[in-house]
Amino acid sequence: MNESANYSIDEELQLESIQFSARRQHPTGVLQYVVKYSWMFIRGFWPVLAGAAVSDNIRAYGEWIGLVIFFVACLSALLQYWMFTFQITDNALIIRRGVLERERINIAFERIQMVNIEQSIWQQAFDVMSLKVDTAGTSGAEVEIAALKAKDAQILKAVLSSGGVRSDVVENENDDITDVEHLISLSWGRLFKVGLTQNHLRNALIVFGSAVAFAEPLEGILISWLSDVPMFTWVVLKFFWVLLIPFFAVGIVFIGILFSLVAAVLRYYNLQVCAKDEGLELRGGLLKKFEFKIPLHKVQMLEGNSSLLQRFVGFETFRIHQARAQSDASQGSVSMAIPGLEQDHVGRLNSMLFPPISGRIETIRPHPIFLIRMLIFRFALLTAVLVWGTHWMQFIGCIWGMWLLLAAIYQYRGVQLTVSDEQLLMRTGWLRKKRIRTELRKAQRVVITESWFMRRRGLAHARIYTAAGPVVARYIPKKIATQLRDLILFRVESSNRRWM
Amino acid sequence: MSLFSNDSVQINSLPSLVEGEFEGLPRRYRTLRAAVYFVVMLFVFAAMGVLMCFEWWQEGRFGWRVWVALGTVVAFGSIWAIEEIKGFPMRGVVVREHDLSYRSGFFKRETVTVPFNRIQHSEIAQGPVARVFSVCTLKLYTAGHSGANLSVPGMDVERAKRLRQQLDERVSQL
Repeated sequence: MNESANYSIDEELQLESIQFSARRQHPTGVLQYVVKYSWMFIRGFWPVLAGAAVSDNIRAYGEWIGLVIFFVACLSALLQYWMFTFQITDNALIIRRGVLERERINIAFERIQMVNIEQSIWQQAFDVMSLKVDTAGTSGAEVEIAALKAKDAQILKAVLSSGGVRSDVVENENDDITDVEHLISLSWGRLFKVGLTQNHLRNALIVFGSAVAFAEPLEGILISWLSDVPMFTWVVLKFFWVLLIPFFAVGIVFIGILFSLVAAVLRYYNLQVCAKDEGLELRGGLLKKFEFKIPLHKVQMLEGNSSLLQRFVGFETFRIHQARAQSDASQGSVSMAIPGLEQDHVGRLNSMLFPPISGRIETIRPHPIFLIRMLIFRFALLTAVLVWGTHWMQFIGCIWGMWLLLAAIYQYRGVQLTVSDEQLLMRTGWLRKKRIRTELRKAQRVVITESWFMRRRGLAHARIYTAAGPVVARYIPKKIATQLRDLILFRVESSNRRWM
Repeated sequence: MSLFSNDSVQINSLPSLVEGEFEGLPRRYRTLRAAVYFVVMLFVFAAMGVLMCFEWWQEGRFGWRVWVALGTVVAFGSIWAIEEIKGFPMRGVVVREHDLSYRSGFFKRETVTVPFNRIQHSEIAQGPVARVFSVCTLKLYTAGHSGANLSVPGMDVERAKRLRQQLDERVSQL
C-alpha cells in the first residue's frame, strides 16, 4: 500500500478521483517536526539540562550538547516524516505513522466530527497548511497532517467534512458564492471592541510573568545598568516610592489592554462565520490563519459566555462544541469560538443550530442548601484569617467576607435550568455569565447522584452527559431529577434523527 | 414526515426507572469485596502495629500522634465497612428494553443510565482475582471523552457475555 508514497510539489490531489493511494506530507513537514521534537526534548529533559548548566565542566560542552539535541531532533523528524503517510479510501481516512511502533489509524468519514486547517506565518511563505481531524473516539484519536499544499488541504478538508462526497468538492471549486450565507463578519470596529472587552487583568499578569521570566537571565546586565543610576535617585525613591504606585497600576492596566488588543487582532482578524452545505464554517486569523468546518447535525452543545464589560457593550462569545475525545479543548481537541456577537447574531446562530423552543417549559432552580454549601467552603479559609490574623488582616478579611457573601448569593441566584420538550438551557454565573444550550436527544448518559445527607432531604444532582461534555444540575429535588432523566431517556431512545 | 416532532409529552406518563427493579450482584462478588477489605485492613493494622512497637521501644509510651493515627485508621475502616455492608445490597443492574442502568453506593449513591442507541462499543474485563471468583467488569463506552462511561463490576461472567452479545447486536443494527 505504500508504493506510491512520494510527494511531488506539482502533484495535486486529483479532483476526478477522491480516493488516492498512500502519500506523504509536504516536505516542509520536516521543519515542523524538527521544532516539535526539539521542544519536546527540552521540555522532557529540562531538569537534567538545568542541572547540567550549573556545572562549569558540562557548560563548556554546551554547543556540542545543543548540536546533539538538534541532530536527534532532525533525525527523529526525518524518520517521522518518512514513516507518516495518509490515504483516502471510499469511506475512510487512513493514517500510518510511527517509527519504532507502527500505527495504522482508520478513521471512517462518519466518525469525523470536525476538520480544521491552520496556516502559520512561515507556512504562508511556502503556501502550505496543517490539517487536524477531530473524532469522537477515545483519548488521542485526533490526527494532524502537519504540512499540505494549501489547495490540497482545502480539497481534503472538503472531502473529509462531506463524508467523501465528490460533488461537494466540485461545488467548492466552482461555486464559492451560491448556497453560502454569511452569518457573522468581524469588522475592525468590532474587533477593537472584542480586544477591549477581554480579561485585561489576566493578560497583564501573563505579560508581567513573562517579563519576570525573561528578566531573570538578564540579571547581570540589569544590575550593571542599575549601578549607573545616580545615588540621589535612590534616595528620592526611598521616600516617594508610594507616589509611583498609581503610575505602576496604570502602566499594568495599559499593558494588559494593549496585550488584549494585539491578541484579539492576531486571533480574530477578518473572522468570518458562514453557513455552507448544511454546515458551519469559521475562518480568520492574522499570522496564523485557521478554518473550521462542522456539519450542523454534529454540533452537540452551544455555550455562551459574557463578562460584565462584554455585556456593557452588548457582546457575547459563543463556543460551538462537537463530540470530542478530550474532555477539555485545551488538551488538544479542536474548539470553535466566535467572539463579539450581538443579539441579532446570537439569535441567528441559535435558530440555525436548534429548532425553536416549544411545548411546556419548566424552570428548575437549586435548593438553598447549594448556597449554604458555597458559603461554608468559602468562609472556611476566611475564618482562620479572622481568628488568628492581625488587625489589618481581620479588616481586609471582613471586606473580603462581604464580597464573598454577595458573590455567592448572586451566583446562586444566577443558576437556572430551563427544560422544554426537546431542549435544555443551563444558566450559571454572575459577573461572568454562562449559558449552555443542547438538545435532549443528544444526551449520552444520565447520572443521578445523591449523598447520604442529600438523600435525607430528598435532593440529588443530575448530570446529563453529551458527547461534548456534561450539563450539571446540582441540588435539585430528587423527584424532578428522576423526571428529567425519564424525559431525556425518552427523547434519546425514541429519536432516529442523526445526532453525531 | 416532519423534520422536528414537537408533540407535547406528559412527564408522568413516561416509563420511569423503578428502584425495586434493580437486580443485585452475585454473592461471590460480595465475598471478593470482603476479602479485599480484610486484606487491606490487615496490612494497614500490621503497619500500625509496627509503628506502635517502635514508638513503645523508643518512648516507653504512646504519644498523641499514635492515637490520632489509630483513630484515623479505625474511622476509615468503620466507614468503609458500613459502605460495604449497607452499600452492597444497593448495587444492582436493570436492563430495560432501550437502556441499561447501574446503581451503587451508600454514602454517595449513584445511578448511571446509558441508552443502547448511544453505546459505541462494549468490553468485558477480568483480572486474576475476579477470575477466581468467576466475576467480571462490563464496560460500556459512549461517544466523546476518554475512559469507560459505565462500568458494572462484579457481574456474573455468563450473564455479562450474554448481555454484551445482545448489546453488540443492537449496536450493529443501529
